[in-house]
Amino acid sequence: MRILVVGAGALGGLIGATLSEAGEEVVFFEANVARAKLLNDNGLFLSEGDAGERCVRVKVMTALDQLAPVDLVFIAVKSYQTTDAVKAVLPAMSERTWILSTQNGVGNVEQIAAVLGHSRILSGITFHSIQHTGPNRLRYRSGIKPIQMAPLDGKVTPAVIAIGATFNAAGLAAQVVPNVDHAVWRKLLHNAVVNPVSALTGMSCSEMLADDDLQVLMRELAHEIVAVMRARGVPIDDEEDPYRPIIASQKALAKNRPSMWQDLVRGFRTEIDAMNGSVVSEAKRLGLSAPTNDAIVNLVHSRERQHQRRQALGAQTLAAVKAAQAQLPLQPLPRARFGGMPSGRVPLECAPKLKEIVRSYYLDLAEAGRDPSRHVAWCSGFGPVEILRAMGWTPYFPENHAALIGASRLTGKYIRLALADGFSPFASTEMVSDIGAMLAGESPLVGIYGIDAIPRPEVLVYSTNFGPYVARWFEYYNHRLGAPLFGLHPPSVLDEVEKIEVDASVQQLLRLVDRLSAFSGRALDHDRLATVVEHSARAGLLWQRILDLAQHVPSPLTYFDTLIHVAPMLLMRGTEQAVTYYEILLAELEQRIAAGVAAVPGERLRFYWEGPPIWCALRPLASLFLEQQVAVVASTYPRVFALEGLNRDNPIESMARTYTSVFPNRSREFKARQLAVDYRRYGIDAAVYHDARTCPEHSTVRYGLHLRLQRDTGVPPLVIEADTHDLRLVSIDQIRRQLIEQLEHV
Amino acid sequence: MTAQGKVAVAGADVGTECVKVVVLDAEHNLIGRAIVPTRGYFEDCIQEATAIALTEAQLAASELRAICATGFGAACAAVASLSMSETACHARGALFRSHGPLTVVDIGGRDPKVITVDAGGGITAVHNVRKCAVGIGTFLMFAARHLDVHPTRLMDLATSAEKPARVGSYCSIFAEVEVIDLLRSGVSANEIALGCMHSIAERILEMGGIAPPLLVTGGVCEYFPGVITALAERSGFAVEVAKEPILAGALGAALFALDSVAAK
Repeated sequence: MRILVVGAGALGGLIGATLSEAGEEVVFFEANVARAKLLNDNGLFLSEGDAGERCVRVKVMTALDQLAPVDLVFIAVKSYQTTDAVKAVLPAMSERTWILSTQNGVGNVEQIAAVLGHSRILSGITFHSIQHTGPNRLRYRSGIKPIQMAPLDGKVTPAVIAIGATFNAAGLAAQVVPNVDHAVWRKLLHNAVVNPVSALTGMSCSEMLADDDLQVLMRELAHEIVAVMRARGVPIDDEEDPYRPIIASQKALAKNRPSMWQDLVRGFRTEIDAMNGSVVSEAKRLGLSAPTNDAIVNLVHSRERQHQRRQALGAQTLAAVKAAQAQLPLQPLPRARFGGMPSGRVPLECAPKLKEIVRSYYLDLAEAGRDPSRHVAWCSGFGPVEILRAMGWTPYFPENHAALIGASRLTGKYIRLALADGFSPFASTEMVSDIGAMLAGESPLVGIYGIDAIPRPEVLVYSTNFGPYVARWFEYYNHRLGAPLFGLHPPSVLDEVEKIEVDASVQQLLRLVDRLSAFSGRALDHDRLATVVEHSARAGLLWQRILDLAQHVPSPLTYFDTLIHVAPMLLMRGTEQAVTYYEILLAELEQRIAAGVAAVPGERLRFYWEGPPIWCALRPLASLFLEQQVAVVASTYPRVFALEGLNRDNPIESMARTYTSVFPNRSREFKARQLAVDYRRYGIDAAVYHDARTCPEHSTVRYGLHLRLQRDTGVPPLVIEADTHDLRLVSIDQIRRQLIEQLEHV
Repeated sequence: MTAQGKVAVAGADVGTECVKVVVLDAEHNLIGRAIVPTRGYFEDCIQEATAIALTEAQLAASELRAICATGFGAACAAVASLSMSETACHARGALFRSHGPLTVVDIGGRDPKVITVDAGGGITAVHNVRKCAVGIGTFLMFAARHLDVHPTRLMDLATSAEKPARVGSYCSIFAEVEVIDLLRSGVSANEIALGCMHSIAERILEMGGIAPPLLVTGGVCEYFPGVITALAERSGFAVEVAKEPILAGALGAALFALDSVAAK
């Protein structure tokens, strides 16, 4: 059978893909061009309950001029789009084509009949529960009852029976019945009572059950609907108390919320008109009244309008942000010499190349700030930069800026300015250094890359996967620069990363995409996202291989090298240039190994560095370890950038999994296990644990990890008390004494 | 009532480095003053300083109509008829010869304070230093001992330095260790002395609330004017010093004592 599915959303996707799997000739019609492309290129992924996924290749068209008439049109758009959808598919219909609607609510077939007349229309009802778990991913549970379909004119012809048989043959249990009016109204009785109340209150079904006042309201809604049903002659399931079955369905749904809630939250139009709205108009037609349903319809419409106003406000904010001074003008740092990065090692030949590509990144960023047709977003280091790039933003990373300020050793001045502005000396000095530099109107970028301004953000996007303080940091920019703030708060402190946590992150990413599209008016280009994610994945794997080369004795690179060469992974993740750069770096390091070049000549011992980098003292520290012929071969921080699991075929879910799984977001147990593995892999003699005073979330020594690892692995700890950015908290002399003492008995 | 039939009161500023007492008559004339170094029990130091101030004023203790105590050890002044906060007393003392709006910066032995005073002389904001950066005067005394000069000579050393050595401002103990560290690595005593002054200026600026015009009170600027120079240099504002800055707190206390007499 040739079937045209109109609307490739949840219901259309599931029914269409299932029919297609069964060998029917299925074509989708989808107005959203980006969505059509995504589905054509990547297929649709289905999973039933917790069973594994399967991919169904589908054919999606955005115009129907070339399509020969089909046997069946399956309408799966929102009820308020029905009339437009039917008019759009007229070219694909002949006098033999049937049209089937199983949309929610009542009044859909009437809309169809108004366009096509009363023949060859099937009115239907489904009981599937379907959830989007990605832009092209659906998880579903089959309905508790079969799909029911009935011809609008009541004549069950062989053609109708053939359609029912086609569904059954595809495993979609279906019944052809003379009339579905009763079934539609019985389903409506549940949906029109539960869905809008949950949507308006934000409560789950079990929460609503526990709220006596809401139950009174819902009972009233039900009574009005039951009066209409009686007047239409629809039998009532429980004549004694018609509300009782609705209590049972709330119990069954328990912690779930119907999708109308999600529609309201995401700012989509709801199907309230086809549900409670139909109750009101039907009551009126029958000479009854339904004031409570009427009130609910108005309340839901009001919430829909509220979101439209918010969108208008978003557009205004965007205009205001863009109209404001477009750049943050900057002064160079007072001391022009930028020399805080370590030296004294055998230099890598790649270093000039690194400088060149990082310079090109910053020059391009500055250009993006000047060009009114380009868009700049500020993003946290492990934020969803792939999505930003795919939506046409050029990212800027305050964390890299903070690292450069730290290396400039001028943090004292900036920290003081931020303290006087109200920050505590215990606040993250990474954050306050950057904020202080902003207050001073200075930046190391001026001296190093010659750019004269950091472009203002149109949006601020962060993820708390690297620690919660980043939210406070970006809130400050939001307050100061006025750009809207979008945050991801993935589940944290995870041991194993379970599917449920990934799903939670997927939902957040999808919501972020919705909000960013609504705000910018630009849709996510899924093709571009796949390409960007692929670049990130390739760079991540190369970076992993580069770090792994430090397993070689003597090591061709040190921790201090990785702190510099990690920059493209942060700044240019998702670009081709980053991939190319790491290919070159990998090749050079492999040559080093072949030639027997050691990063620390005369390497005596191999150390691990756990905890955040001491950005403000990298050079003296590197020299200190070099003097003692100690190679710090590996460290947690650069390790985090060895992103695993990114997959162009499943960008959103793989991003959700990868970015939720990063080391800082994991449990103490997981960290202990991973460090133990790393100590073995890199042949570690001793481990430095940096207890950074203002960075407690990354200082694992705070909860005794060093002693536990000493017990488990025998690797002795060297606990260094210092800080990431505050020079006043770093005593190189003390570290030297500790190190020498340690070396006496390692 | 004094022998001459005049009203006289005293203010006692019981600090961690010095106890200061002033005696004031009803016409606001400063007729007696005393500064004694704090050591041993506060009670003994208060007694000693009061006795000196009374001698200068040629009064007997019984002739004082009121005594107001302030400062770290105010609670030990059993003779006091009332007690006021350091903030209030320093602001009052500073305003004795000046008027608001201004920012009073009290830099004493222990807790520096930045006090914002409005045009009417009312206190609108007070900024305190964080716990581990306290002990300003005490820190300078420590530096003098390690630089092997009398505390009053520390300033002379600093004056001849071309640039300050880097001495941190986060914590007084950290800063003390840095002083010893610098000495070991052969940095000149002059630069270290100036570095200490700058460390203190940094601590003050980090407290926030600094806005011109600035008026400094407290003992530190009496003995170590280099701190004032450093503060002016680092803040970019002109900094004025109260007359007899070390007595500002005691003077403010005495003015409050006078108020209490008038109210009776």
